[in-house]
Parts: sequence; structure tokens; C-alpha cells
Amino acid sequence: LPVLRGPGSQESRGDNRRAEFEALAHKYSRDIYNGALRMTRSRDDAEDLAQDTFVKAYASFHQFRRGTNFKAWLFRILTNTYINAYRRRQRGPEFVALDDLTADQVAKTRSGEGASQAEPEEAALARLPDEEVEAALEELPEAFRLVVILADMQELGYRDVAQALDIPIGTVRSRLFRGRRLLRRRLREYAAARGLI
Amino acid sequence: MEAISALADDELGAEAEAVRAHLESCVACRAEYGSLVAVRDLLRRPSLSKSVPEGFWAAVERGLDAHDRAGEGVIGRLRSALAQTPRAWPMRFARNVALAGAAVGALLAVLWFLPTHQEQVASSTTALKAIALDFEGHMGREAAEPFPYHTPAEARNAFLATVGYPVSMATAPAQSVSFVGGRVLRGPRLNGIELTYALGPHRVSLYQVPDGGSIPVGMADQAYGSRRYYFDTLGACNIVAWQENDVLYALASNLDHLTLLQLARQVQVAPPVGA
Repeated sequence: LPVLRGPGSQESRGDNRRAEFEALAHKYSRDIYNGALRMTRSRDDAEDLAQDTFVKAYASFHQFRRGTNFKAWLFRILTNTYINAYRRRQRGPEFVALDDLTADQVAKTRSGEGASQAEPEEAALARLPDEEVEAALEELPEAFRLVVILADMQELGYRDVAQALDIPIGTVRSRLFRGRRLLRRRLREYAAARGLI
Repeated sequence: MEAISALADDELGAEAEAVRAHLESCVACRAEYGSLVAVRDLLRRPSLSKSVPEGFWAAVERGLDAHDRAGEGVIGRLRSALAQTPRAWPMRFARNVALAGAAVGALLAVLWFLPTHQEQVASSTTALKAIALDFEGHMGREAAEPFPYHTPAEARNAFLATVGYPVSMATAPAQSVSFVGGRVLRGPRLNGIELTYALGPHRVSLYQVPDGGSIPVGMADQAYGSRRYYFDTLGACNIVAWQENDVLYALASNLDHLTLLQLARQVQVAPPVGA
């Protein structure tokens, strides 16, 4: 039978662990909150999700390998928490068959696009207000949206995105490409509606 | 086309040179590249990054506090229970059940006995004991089945198949704690799996039960045979405790291997009684 004794030093060790965690985690609170905001598309849910993420990260901080990318580790927890707990109550666009989207997209983007139009188009997109960029992002089907949030907004590398979403790197690459094209299509529509293009 | 997008992220690897060379000579692809970069950079516009709401980090701190309290809570409560007179502690324990509801997170809990009430404690008995078998003897032995699995992975899979409740166990081999074996228990009160670990020279047995299952959340304290059992829940952990002579025993369900490892680092392993 095991005989275990409570240590007198447990408290101070706990404090060190917590201090180390807080020192690392605090500087990512904005990133995590913004990631959660783009995932949930709701300020209230984002706050809860981001706070849950930090508490979960703290609870499993012993699993974090020192010297590896802490931000990527936090985003992995954020993504898992979102997928497991928050996505179920989400409204809004759901998954769309990937083939349909891409076939449609490739056809549209290949026509009528030339070098001469590229410069003004980029300038036009840059003049879109935040609200329309956010709206275009929110309309993105989730498979693409998650990859775009992690890679484009949070600037995680493909490998970290792949781990966070538990998908192969090749899938990250193709979803990101398709996601960007879907976004571009929507942004062009907004720009055209404003007479920018 | 997809390669162009990856090139913009510097994620292309060996192909990068060839694609760059192609961009030099292909106007359409160069336009595509510029346009994808423009979309990406639009998403990095600083004004899209919102400030965290006021009080955000304070709320995180409260969550961490709750987690810290919960980690010590079981231990602390059992300690304070034992600090009472032997007849008083069960009431104290029961009263504190309500506090447990506030606990957050994955929890530590184990079989603790703390010698705060010296006259009640045999001189060499200074710690808690894991006596899962004793508990099982009262609550589920009649239906215990032999356990045919010998690795954590097998146990986990069997557990999932049996009760559908995920058990997370360390995938990396534990240094100080190793999995010994386990068995499936099917009893009127305890329906789950018992896992046994070697912890130094000792053995620790833990119950993993279905979520809210065999030791139901909020289950009232009950007497079985000559003993009275006290039930409690802390987060995902279900706990049952009882007193035998001058020793307090507690068992926790849903303890995983990693949590046990974490615990093992926090407790001092003393030689077994009589060793």
C-alpha cells in the first residue's frame, strides 16, 4: 500500500509554477482573445472561450515542453476548446463542400484578371473598412476560416497550424490558398459595391 | 497556384526557387501572387486586432485561483476534517461538499490521510493509504471481472469501448509512475475501471468511472454495511471518502495518468508502514 505524505513545500512550488505560467501567458492575452473573437464571432463567447483557454492551459502547463512555441501551444488549446465546446452553439455558415467552392472559385478568378488590374485592385481592397473585412472573414466556411485565423491573422507557421487543427500540412496549405481566394472574391464584391473597383 | 500562396508565406521549401523563377516570366502568376499577399496583409491590419475587454485578465486570474484551490481543496478539506474530533469530521466534510461545486479544471485528488490529530493516529501511520480493493470489496467486488489489458493504451481503448468516456493517459512513459494493470468493475455502485500504478515501491489503485456515472455527481452520503461513505465531486473528479478506525481514506475517479504523475511530484513518498 502506498503511503504518501503531504509536502510542506507544495505551496511555494505551486506559486513558482503559476508565476512562470502568468509571465508567459499574459502577453498572449490579446492574441488569444482576438483568435477567439474571430472563431466565435461573438464578443461574449470570445471572452469566455479565451478565459477557458488560459485556465485549461494552466491546468496542463506541466505538459508544455519548455523551449517550444508557447503561442502555438496556446492556440492549439484554444482551437481544441473551440471545436469541442463552442462550435456547437455557433450560428452562421457551415461547411460547404470544398470541391464546389474551389471549382467555382478557380473559374471566376482566372477570368478577367490581368497584371494591369492588380495594382488598382490591391489599393482598392486596402481602402475597405474594417467592418467589411471582418464580414468577409465571418462568412468564410469554418474549415477555411480557422486556417486563415491561425496563419494569416496570428501568423503561425504551417506546421503549428497543422498541429493546432490536427490536419496535415498539405491540407493547411491548400485550405489557406482556397480561403484567401474566397476572401478575395468577397472583398472584391464589397469593393465593387463601393465603387472602388 | 497553391504554391504561389505558400511562397508568399515562405513555406514552400524546395519548390521555392522554381516558382520564383516562374513568377519572373509570368505576368498572370505575378498578379496572383500580389493579390494573395494583399488579401493576407489586409487581415494583418492592426485595427482588426481588438483590445481585450476590461477585466479580462482578472477573470483569468480568478480561474487560476479556482484551479489552485481545487488542487489543494480535497487535501485541505480532508486535512481540516481530520483536525476535528473524529465524530465531527464527517459533518464538516459534508458541509464542504457545496464548496466543491465551484471548483474548476482538472483536479488532483488521491487517497490522503494526514496526521493532524495525533492521538487518533497510530504512531507509525502518518499518511494516507490507497485501499481501492477495500472500497471495491464493499461496492463492486461481486461483479469484478478479470482485466485482460496490460498497457495504458489497451486500457484506454477498452475503457472507451466499455463506457464511452475518454480517459486521457500519458503517452510518454512515466519516469516515476508506471502502469501495472487494471480490471473492469461492474457493480451496483461502482461501474468502471480500476487502474493500478507502481509509484516507487508502492501501488496505487485508481478508479476511472463514466462521467457522472457510478459515483454520481451530488450523490448523498450513504452507509454500506458498517461504513459510511462520503461522496463529493470536484470538476471531473468524483471522490468518495470514508473513515476506518483512525484513518481517513479517499478515492478519486477520473484521475488520469498525467494527473497522477503531477501529484507524485508534489507529494513525498514515505516508506510503507512497517517497512
